[in-house]
Amino acid sequence: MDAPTSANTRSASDAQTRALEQAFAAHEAWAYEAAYVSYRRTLYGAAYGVLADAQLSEDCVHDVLVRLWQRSGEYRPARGRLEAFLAVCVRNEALSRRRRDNNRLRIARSAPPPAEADPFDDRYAGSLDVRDAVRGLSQPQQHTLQMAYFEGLTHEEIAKRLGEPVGTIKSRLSNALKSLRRTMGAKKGPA
Amino acid sequence: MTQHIGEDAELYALGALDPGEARAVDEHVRTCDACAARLGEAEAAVSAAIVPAEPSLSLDRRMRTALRAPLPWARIAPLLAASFVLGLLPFFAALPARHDTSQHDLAVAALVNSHFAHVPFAALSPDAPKAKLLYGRGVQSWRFIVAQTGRAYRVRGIVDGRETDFGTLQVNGASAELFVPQTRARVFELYDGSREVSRSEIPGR
Repeated sequence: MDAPTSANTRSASDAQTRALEQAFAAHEAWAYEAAYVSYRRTLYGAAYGVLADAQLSEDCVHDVLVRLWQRSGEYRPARGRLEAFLAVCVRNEALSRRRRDNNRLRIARSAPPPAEADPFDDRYAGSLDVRDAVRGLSQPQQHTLQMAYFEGLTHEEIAKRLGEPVGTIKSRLSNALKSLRRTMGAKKGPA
Repeated sequence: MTQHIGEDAELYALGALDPGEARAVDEHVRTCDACAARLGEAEAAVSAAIVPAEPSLSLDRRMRTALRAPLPWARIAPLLAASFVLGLLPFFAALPARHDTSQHDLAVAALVNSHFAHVPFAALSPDAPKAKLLYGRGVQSWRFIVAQTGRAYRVRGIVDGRETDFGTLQVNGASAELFVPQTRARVFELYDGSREVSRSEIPGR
């Protein structure tokens, strides 16, 4: 029998990921711990990118996973990658906590970066692909995305700050993210 | 069904919705596959920009405590017995220091969180390795194949009457293993090239 090819190895890994996602959706206990073990660095990075504090970030990851375990039913394979779902859950919870904690963290983190700074520099962007994709956006899209992603502002706060209609900001953010996704997808090529 | 979420999918993934709007998205995607898929794509784009970072071992311990059901001795005993028999104990001892994502981590999570049983592989050849099949209860559950061998035997199984390739055993020193997270297969075979050397079958339903 032939030795396994890299394609076989990749498909075996994809199959394991899909199986983990199905087990997580089915609320199997082992899948929750396996998901943590598999995605812990992404989840902690998602929290730390918002909270910039090790203990607060660990508390956030812990609380989100425990909440998902207790509630169940929030993830379905139709939603796509479990890792992305969990990362956004953790990041959104971290943003909520930061918004509540105006007195300490928001003051330190919410000021806009200097005008000359590249908003998607090495401190933030997950990969070169992301940075390249962001640079392909229009200036208004980059600016709005920066306020949502790094400053953690809601679309209403962004609209207020820029003095533009809420609907305009929503469309701009939506189009910016879709454009990013398309660009990164095109670079990766077919799965 | 409530109204489709439209561009709120991207705003949700960016964390740019207020709590009430986010709850409405959560509610809608529970029953709408199209919106769930759009939201999933937006989440993938946002997660691509996240810079991974290493949490402390303290979080690893907290998560294990929080996510594992209580383990009465009745459940731990067979696990420990299997560990000694199969030489897995060093892996358990080393677990806190492991930071890679691997099938072994998935297997350990499955073992310590499930009721499981095991059945040996029957040798079909004099050179067949000593091996066991550990399996979670239920028609469709995880399977874990462990063998005392340094060879990467190919693992095949029978799923719904069809021969299926599960890949090769992952060798770690003098032992090898393969974790299959979820399958209905009840028969597994080890192959050396095209030659079947041993076989294991989960007994009756």
